[in-house]
Amino acid sequence: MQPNSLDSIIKNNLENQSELPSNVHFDKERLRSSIDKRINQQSREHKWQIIAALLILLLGSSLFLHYQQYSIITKQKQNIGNQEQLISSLHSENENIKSENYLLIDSISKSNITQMEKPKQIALPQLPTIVINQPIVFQNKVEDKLYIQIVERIKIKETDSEIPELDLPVYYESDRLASNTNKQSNSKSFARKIGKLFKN
Amino acid sequence: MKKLFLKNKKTIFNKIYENHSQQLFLLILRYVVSQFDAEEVLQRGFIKVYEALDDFTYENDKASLGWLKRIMVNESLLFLREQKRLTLSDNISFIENSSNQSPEVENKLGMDDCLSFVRNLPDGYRTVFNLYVIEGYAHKEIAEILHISESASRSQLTRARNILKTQLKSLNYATELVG
Repeated sequence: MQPNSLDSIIKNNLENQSELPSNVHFDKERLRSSIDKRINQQSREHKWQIIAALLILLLGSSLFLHYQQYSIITKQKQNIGNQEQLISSLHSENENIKSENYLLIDSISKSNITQMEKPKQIALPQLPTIVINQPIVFQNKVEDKLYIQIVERIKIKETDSEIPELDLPVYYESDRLASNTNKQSNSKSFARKIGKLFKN
Repeated sequence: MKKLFLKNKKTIFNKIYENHSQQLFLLILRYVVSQFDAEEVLQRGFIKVYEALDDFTYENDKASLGWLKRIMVNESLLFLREQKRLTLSDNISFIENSSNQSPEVENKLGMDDCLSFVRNLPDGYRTVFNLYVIEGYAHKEIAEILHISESASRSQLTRARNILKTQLKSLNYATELVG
């Protein structure tokens, strides 16, 4: 027998074989119910898989959004920190500028004051010559100077008043010389008497 | 709409199962031998059919049957691979024994005999024989499907034929003894 003839015999017998051999058993209904069960089970599994996939998707998206928000917050915090640093540096710069300004203002004011004080310092030596009764204007420590002036004046007055007026005979050289003569002495005693009278 | 489609799908599936399940079961039986295994492969195959029905377009009965057969053959091969039964030796040093001794019983061979002959073959030989002789695949295609060389496919086929001849001889002797 040629191989091809054997092949054709077997092919013809088996290719479209639809009748079951006697030794083969095929339970169509049982297999059908089993297939149905498996299909339903698979569809249920598919549903669960879809649900799980959706959940994972939701979880992933929420995590992604959360991560994005977290990154945005951290960036904002960093920005805030940077801004705070900038603000503090600006503050310090401002303080420096202010202090510099103060120094400048001080120096300007000092220079102004010195400029203003200069002519008055020149006038200071004239102080003893100023008449007290006239109004005296000082920009700096006017009261003190005035006080000194007044005190000095008072002192002068006091010293004037402290000199006791003694009722003693006043001797003048002229009187002594005049005493050598009676006329002269008489005239002097007369003058003395007139003086006493005025004093009383 | 979905319910209608599902109902329609179920109806088509029922028709396919009713018309072709037995024939497909016998086809699978040629590949996996065991009835229990054949039932398992048939179930898997029909689940695949059910899933693939959405994309299926009916042309004619022959084309539909061809599509179903391809699914079942693929499922059978997948099952054999899972069971690690599809170990094909890449032996090309096989000398074909083409004896011209023709037993007289060749014309008396029935479906049962042919099926039992084929089922008695070793897994590798049987697979190549089924694919080449009955399904009509070329050696190149078989080599691609089974991941073997063409020469290996040829050698497997020749060995399968030799075994079949031996079986046929023994049947001849038996019938002669019986006759």
